[in-house]
Amino acid sequence: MELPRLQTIWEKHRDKGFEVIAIESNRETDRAVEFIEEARLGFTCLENGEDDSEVVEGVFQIWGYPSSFIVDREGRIMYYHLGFDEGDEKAIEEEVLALLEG
Amino acid sequence: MRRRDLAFVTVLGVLVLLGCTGREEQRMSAGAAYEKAQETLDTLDDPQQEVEVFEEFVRAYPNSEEAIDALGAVIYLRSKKLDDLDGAVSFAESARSMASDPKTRFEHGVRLHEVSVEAGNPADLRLIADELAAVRPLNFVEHLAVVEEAEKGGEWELMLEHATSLRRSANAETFRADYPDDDFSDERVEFSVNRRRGWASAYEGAALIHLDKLDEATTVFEEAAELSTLSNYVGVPEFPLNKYWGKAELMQGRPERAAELLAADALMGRDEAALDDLRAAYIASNGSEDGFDGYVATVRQSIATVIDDVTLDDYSGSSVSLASMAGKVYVMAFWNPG
Repeated sequence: MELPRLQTIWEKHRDKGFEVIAIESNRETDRAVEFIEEARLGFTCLENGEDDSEVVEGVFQIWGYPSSFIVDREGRIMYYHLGFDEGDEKAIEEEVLALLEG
Repeated sequence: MRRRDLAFVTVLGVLVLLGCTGREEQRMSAGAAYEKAQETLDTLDDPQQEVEVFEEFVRAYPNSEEAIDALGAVIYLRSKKLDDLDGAVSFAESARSMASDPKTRFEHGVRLHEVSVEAGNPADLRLIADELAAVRPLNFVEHLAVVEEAEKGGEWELMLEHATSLRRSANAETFRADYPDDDFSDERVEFSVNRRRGWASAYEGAALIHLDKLDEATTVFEEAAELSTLSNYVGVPEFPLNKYWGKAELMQGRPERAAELLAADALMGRDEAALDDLRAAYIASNGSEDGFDGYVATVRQSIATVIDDVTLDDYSGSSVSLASMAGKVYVMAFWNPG
């Protein structure tokens, strides 16, 4: 699962100006909150708009989960990641570090 | 026992078997039987036993839609869990011979081809496709299956034939015929038809590249590019058109143009083959790989999408806008608990 791995990366690098924003796409509020509490996620967790076509699908054209973007200091999406396999967190962390240092 | 008696017993046996099978099928539809098999599977964690349940199902309901799924499971379990690729191939062969329904035989044939390529001894894909084509024309998804299998087996002529049929048959009429129960708007149909043409053209061009018909491949790519440029939010094309087009440009000695076409698939889409071709294009332009990493960083910046500002609520009801992230590096993770 991607979010607990992102929590680990966030704890390591948040003092360098690194953030994580999770957006839950289905508005399954109860299950989402339960997950967030169990995994002790400390970063920003948002809920998709009432109509799914508003933001997740409508604006960002996300059709597969999990998906993630890595955004640089200028607001540019520098990496796009679809799916999550064990070990992918290493690639994500490397990319984040490269952007933090660059 | 005398021969005549033996014949009688055999005939009687067949009648009894037929009767049983008939009753069996009356008592339980394939769907219900498959659900029951799934329940049994939930209690098992030995792949050998799981294989037996799936194989028994295929034998009992050889023409059912569920048999296609069950054969897929047998192939997966035998080839990946039991290290028995040959067993997977031979069960796929027998599943196909047990089936009499043309559609089921075709679907089994596609799976047989896939696993037989993996085993290094490809089944006759042309025969599998032609057999269905003799009954009725293949639909889009079926042509696509043949194209993808032909690509796996390196059967370029066959891939080209079906990719060309795919492109020619991609129109509003055939799309609506594939979804008889839906009433799509004209706009939606046009979008989907263009998508189908894009996929078909990408594969048609790819087959032409392998057949050394680079000029024809380029023409196909150029025509498809005029249709539309369907790509997702980060600019990655939905189908591998630019990726193959870039390869053709590279092979024709135009590395700069190749690099432009390959960039999004290679850098945002994380396509290893496209990244290899991008590296080759860089070397062709610059004489060596020196400086490739810096080049990649620059190109990535130039093609990167600037994220839209959106505002959403957190779980305490506060609004958060992406604008508040200005100056920070962040990961935006889309998820759901399901």
